[in-house]
Amino acid sequence: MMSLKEHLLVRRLRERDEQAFKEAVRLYQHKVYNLVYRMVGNREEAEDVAQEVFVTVLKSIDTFRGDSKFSTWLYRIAANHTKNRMKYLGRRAYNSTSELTDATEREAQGKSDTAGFKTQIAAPDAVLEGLQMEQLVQEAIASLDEEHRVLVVLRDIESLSYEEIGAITGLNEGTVKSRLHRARMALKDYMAKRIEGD
Amino acid sequence: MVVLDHVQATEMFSAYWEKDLPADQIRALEEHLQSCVVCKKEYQTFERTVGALSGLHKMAAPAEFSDDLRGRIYKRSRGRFFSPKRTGARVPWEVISIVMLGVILAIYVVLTLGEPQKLHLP
Repeated sequence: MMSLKEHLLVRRLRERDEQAFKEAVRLYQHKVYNLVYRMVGNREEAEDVAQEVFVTVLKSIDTFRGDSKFSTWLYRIAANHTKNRMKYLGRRAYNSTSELTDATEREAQGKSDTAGFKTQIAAPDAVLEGLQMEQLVQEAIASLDEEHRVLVVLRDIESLSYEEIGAITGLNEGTVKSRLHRARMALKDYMAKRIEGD
Repeated sequence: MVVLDHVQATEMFSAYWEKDLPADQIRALEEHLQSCVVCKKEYQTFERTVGALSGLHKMAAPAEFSDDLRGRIYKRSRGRFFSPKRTGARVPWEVISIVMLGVILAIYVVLTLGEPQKLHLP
């Protein structure tokens, strides 16, 4: 259920209050961007999709019934937009891992746009190993189809509850759990193959 | 005591990782993992993979995200939303109303103080 703060925010959004919209963007832009980025694996696409999510929020706020949290509704829009974009990019034979090497190199040079999550740098080797692992995990995520990818991102990266994931995806808890297990096993097989192959 | 085969054991990995298994199934799986090298290795890779997912960096939206978004909405709404005029040169009605109230009060005070002099007139 929505908190009082969310209620007030939604009410002001329905009145098309620009300050409320700015507040919503300030509160949720990073969460939405991270969700989209982890699904598409490309910064430019992630930014474009995340912006479309907020455009949809402004356009469709009157259709939000308030029977779930505002953030759940927002995630649902983000997941749907991202799946649609992935289908579109898939038709154009887009390779979402194409940017991963560049991203990793930028991060290794200290130009990461990650904020608030700076880790203690123990040693260059440890950093490189961490970045390689991150790249490998992102590649593994990209190897999943969009239905499985969204579940992994929502549960294992965003740490949402099964109830919230059900509300976002429209799946019941049992289906979410079984599909998530399949997705994790596929990720595990991908990782094992890559690690053993290297 | 339940004895598991490989398939049954691997089916339990997610629930075991999330600590969502009943006690008897936890015991059965742990027994199996102790005796089966293949499943033990499989679970170690599973654990490392799922652990790595939760350890991924949280990507922050670019610094210009908010400005770009405002620009996009301004363009799409043909100036209805986020017009620079509306946001930049907004009339501060709150301040104006307070100043106006102050002026009205001052006029009222001046007029009321002036009244008694009139009363003394014949």
